[in-house]
Amino acid sequence: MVKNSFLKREKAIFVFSVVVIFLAFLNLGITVYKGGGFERITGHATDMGTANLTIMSQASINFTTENITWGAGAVDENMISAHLVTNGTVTNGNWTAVSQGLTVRNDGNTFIKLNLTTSNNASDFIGGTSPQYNLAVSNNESSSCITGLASAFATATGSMQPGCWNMSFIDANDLLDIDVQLVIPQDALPGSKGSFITATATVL
Amino acid sequence: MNIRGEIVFGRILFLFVFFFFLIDFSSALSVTPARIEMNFQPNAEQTIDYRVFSAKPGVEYQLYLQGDLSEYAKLSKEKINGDGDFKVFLKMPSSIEIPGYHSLYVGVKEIGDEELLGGSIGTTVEILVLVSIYAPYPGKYVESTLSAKNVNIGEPVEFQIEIINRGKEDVTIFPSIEIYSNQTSEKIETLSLNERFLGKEQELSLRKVLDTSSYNPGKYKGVSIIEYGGASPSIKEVLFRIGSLGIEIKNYTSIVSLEEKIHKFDIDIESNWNDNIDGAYAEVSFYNQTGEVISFKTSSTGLVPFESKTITGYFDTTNFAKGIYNANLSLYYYGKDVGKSTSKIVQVEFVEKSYPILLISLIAIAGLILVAGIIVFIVKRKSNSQNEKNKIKK
Repeated sequence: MVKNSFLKREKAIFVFSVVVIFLAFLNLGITVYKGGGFERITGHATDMGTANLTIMSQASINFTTENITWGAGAVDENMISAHLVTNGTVTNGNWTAVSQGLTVRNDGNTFIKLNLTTSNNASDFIGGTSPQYNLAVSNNESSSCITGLASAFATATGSMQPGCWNMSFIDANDLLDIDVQLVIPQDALPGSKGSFITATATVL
Repeated sequence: MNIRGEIVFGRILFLFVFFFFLIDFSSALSVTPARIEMNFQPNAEQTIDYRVFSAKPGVEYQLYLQGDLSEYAKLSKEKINGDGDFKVFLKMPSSIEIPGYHSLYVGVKEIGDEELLGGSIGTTVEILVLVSIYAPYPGKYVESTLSAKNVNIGEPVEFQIEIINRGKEDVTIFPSIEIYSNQTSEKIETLSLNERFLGKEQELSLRKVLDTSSYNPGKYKGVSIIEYGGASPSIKEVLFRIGSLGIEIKNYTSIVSLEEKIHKFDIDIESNWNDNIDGAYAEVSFYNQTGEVISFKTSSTGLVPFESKTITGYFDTTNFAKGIYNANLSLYYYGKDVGKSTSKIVQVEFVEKSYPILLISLIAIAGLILVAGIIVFIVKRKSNSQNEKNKIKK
């Protein structure tokens, strides 16, 4: 009885093994067929793949330093005017020195022309007798401005003025500083004074 | 939540609020695509999709059109709030009279809020992206560019010519490249390329290789001439160099002031090699009638292809007297692990005191003016005294 039972179990295992092996070979056959033959599954790579990639042109600017605040202050007594520059200069006044101008980066992948426009001129921004509001541009990273750097202080009139005729986008050469110079006369009206500087990037 | 938990939560909330107000949204703006080029086609309609990103959330940006073709384009919207998309619908005119490039600029401008500005100078950004439309020239008109790279002796020079038919008619082109010596302007040879058909608005890239095995190192000029049956052929030039492993001494310190005990000695050098040169330095030896006075080495430098640089050395002038000395400048360097040297005998003048030419000129001019003034004064005084004598006599 025991021997019969053992034989029956052995037969069942044998049949089950045959079925499993058959299914395994069937699976292998289907895989090979779908894969396109043995050449394709043995690492024999003869086909050439083509990857298409298009990089879109992108215009992008970013003010990495985006505001200048000298805080509250006044022109020293007996002085005609105070002189403030974003290189740390504060003469004839008690404003907090600012030693960093605005910094703008060409973050895109195209050359751009950079122009600057202030939201007001010196009279509207500061007021008083003979106020001055001037802007100058310099390379923060060397050769960021390829041509036409407006490096001398120029009067901000409220109209568009040049900053750099051709600004580079190469990572190590894409950063310009914009310095601001103010002359605040003694008779300027007190109050909170603000102005926007708009950086216009035109794709070349 | 127990009291301790509430305190901790309160602290976290305080920190969050504190940092929230410290966050400063940077002033940035990106627009894509930045530049689109297309050929003019009468009455053709185009829709261009633009994407604005890196914009300040909640800030309004004004969209506008500029340029000589702006009247033929419309925007899908006038304003955009933060990041977003918009379209430009362009309907080209039936004709453009002036041939060449015409522009349509698409502007995205941040609208600054002066109420939030306070007492500071703030910033806004504005970007103008470009749609460049090319109107063809009437008849036949071809434009081309020519490029070539520097090589070393024996290596071939590969010329690349880009040709584009900018006219309204199809053309057949006959390209050739003439090679000239840049020193003597003498024509060396002409490379002919095959005749080809070029339909209107079509572009073509051609490549031609110059065998330089019979060429000496030096500077040369390639001139491409594209004949196409137009008013004049399209002609372009490119300069190229055939290099050899060598460094040329271009200039050196020729006057040394004996006032300075330790004197700087500069040598301007230029690589004639189209590969990097490593460890270039000079040994400078000064001689008088009896032999070597002093010998010293300059700083060492590397040179990229055909680069010019200045190398500097310092020496003691104690043993020198006023006069002219011979100096041997020996340059040592490596190019592709091959060591080489170049020598040059030069003359260096040692002077006791050197005055700037401008200062000497100013002193001389001032002296002349003073002498002239004295002469005028003496002549005038003599003339006055003579007049007075004459008056007394009368």
